Amino acid sequence: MTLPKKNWLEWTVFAAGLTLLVAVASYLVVQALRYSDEPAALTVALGEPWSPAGTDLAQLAVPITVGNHGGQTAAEVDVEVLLVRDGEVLERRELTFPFVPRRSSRSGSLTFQHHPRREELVAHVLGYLEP
Amino acid sequence: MHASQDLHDAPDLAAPQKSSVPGSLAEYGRGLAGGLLFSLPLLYTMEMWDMGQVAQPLRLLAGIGGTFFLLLGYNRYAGLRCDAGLREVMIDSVEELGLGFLLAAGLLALLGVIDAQMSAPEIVGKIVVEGLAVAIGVSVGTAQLGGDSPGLAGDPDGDKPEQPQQERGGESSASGSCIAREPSQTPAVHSPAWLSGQLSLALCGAVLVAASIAPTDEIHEISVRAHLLHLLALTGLTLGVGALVLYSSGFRGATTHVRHRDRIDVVLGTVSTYLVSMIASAALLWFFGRFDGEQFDMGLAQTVVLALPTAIGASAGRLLLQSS
Repeated sequence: MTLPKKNWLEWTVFAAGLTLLVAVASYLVVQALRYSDEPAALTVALGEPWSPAGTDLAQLAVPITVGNHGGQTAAEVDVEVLLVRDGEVLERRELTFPFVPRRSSRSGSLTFQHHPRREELVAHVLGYLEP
Repeated sequence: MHASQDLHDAPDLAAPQKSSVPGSLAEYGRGLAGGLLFSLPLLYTMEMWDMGQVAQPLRLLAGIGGTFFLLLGYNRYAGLRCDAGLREVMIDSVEELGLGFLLAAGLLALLGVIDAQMSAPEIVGKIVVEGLAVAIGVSVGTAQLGGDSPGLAGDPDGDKPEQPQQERGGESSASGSCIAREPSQTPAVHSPAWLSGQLSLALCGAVLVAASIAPTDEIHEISVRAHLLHLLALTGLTLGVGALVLYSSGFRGATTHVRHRDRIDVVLGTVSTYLVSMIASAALLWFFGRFDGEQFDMGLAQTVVLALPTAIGASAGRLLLQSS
């Protein structure tokens, strides 16, 4: 077998390129084998309510993270968060995430007028599109 | 990749075909410049980033395979050196894909499209989608942007059995193209190698031009509105533009690379370019997920709409990408 004549720089670039290509391709093969059949699986997690400095005292922000543990990306993910106190819905907030890619998460914040305690908040995904 | 011919006069006579490091550096520089020049519109396009988030691993793998095939064809028929064997062409294509991925990763990070907080599938998806486009740009840039060296050495291995006496590896070759040139007395039939070379370059041109249009939402938008008559007229225009570029516009290379002896040549050339355009159009649309969940009619309409830019790229690419 005769190898083409190349200098060390060309062989280095070739080796780096081949390594990168093989790494990317094998990663994609593993991903394809493990996850491609699973539909999107969405979870919603809420953070601790906090009051951003310099804003209205009546404005409480609640961090929200939508995760997708499935194999398909979800688009236009609609999330609803309710503030329920004494069995009564005090406030209702809705947020749409343009994309939550497979095995990824996206974050945002919602604001409430009443000071919510963590256990008074109920969150769920209303629906999403398959892109 | 290879250094230009003038570097062959380097003092290292023991390895006359080995290119010097500065020569290689210049080539990679051209490749990087070409990669940016031809793929910047795609790096700055949101639909491409979305595609990277949405695309399934299998589709990305198919994209890598298709691009590799395209690079093989391009490097074989329009690359820097015509005497490159299959192994050398493959090495070049791997290098170009690697450079494409690296360049795409660097630029996407600079543009803030990828960052460390994102998950691995998302980052890899975006880099692959953009990197494929950059790799084609790197390949075209390396071969086309080098101005002062013809960079051609002899004829391709075994493609011209009718001219066995031609000097191999000689730098005095008068042939300007890597494609087996027709002898001056035009034969009755083209060799299959000639045709596959022409169609490879047409495919490269088609993808180069249409890749920045295929991912946009506008193709779908136009197809939804298009009437059947619009589509028919677009088909006519596509054929007409292909014929115009190839046969009557005086494009560089039109007289040397395209045979127009009689009307049948014109019809055959136009139709084969149209065929390549439709295939490239459909392949790009499939890769960008434009056929997902679509009925056949809608898919066909989109293919026809995109075929106009691909046909211009295919016919112009067939002429301009040849190193003549």
